Amino acid sequence: MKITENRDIGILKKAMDVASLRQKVMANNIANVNTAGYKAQKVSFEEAMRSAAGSQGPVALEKTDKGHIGNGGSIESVRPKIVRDESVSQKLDGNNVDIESEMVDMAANQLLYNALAQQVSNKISVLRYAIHEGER
Amino acid sequence: MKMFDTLAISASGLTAERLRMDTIASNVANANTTRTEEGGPYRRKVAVFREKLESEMGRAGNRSAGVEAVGIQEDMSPFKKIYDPSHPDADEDGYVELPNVNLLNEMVDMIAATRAYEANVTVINSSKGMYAKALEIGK
Amino acid sequence: MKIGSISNEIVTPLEKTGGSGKTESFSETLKKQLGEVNELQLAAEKASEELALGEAENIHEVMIQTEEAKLALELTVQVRNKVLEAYQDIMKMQI
Repeated sequence: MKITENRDIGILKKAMDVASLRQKVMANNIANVNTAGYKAQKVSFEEAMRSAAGSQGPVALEKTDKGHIGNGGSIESVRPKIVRDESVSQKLDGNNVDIESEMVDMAANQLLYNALAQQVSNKISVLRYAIHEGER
Repeated sequence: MKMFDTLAISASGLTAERLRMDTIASNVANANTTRTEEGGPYRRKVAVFREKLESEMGRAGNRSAGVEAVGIQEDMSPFKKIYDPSHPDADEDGYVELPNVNLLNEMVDMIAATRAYEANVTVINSSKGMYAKALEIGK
Repeated sequence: MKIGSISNEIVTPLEKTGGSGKTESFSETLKKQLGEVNELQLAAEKASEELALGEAENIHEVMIQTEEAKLALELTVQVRNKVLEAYQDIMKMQI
């Protein structure tokens, strides 16, 4: 019973990794808001994750042996990707960073990260409660 | 520290915008300077930025790591010519060459730099909040 | 009345029948779990070291790993306590 293999905490941690990367990418976009010719970047992850997680739904095939073949990618193999937004810029210097939408996305991202951290804490306390049979 | 890379990125943004402000301040202060060391009127200066890459910081990978100033370049657009024979630096025809600084443009640039600076500060606060929350996991 | 050795009487009902048909005795399961707990402890120690040296990738990763190791250890200690309790209960039984 490895707690890392606990699916819930595993997904939460993965989401936190992505939110952390997203914060970094947005910080970079905002730092480069006045750099001529700079094209904004963003992180693509949710689509890939949904297809990997969805394929492990109610009809997931269990792998109890190395030779078994599952149905769909595993959650661990999904990685976030940094993608460049090549859209044409509105500004004269070729920079296409939309600072207002970056700021709004960043506020949402911070809230998401905090919520995920809270969820991980909750899951851990539930496990702790079960281990100590409610005595502590 | 790799952990706080996000903060370093925003810090680079602050440094860059501060440099830009310094350049703008210099332009505004010298808007009427007709004599410089090289002779001739003051030339408008522009701070040029570019994206900083991780590889330049001695790290593997070539992801973005913020912004850095390439240098301060001079704006080569022509000087303003004003007819003012009483000016000590007027030439034989009575024309004076004044710096190619347009105060309105400088004001607009100043506002852009200030806004960008403030935005980077907001990002730093946001990142700090995230780190603080992560430290509370398991409490 | 036949008096058999106590250890045989306790261990047998706890034998686990795995899906592959191999039976794992309680001691083997215990050893495996202890090995995993040890691995978690080592991973958490390594993460703390990286944190101190400034090499950690993400702070939430360090926190989660440390908590996981703590939980695994707490679970192991509780299981040990339960086993000891069970053993003591049985020892107290008057034959």
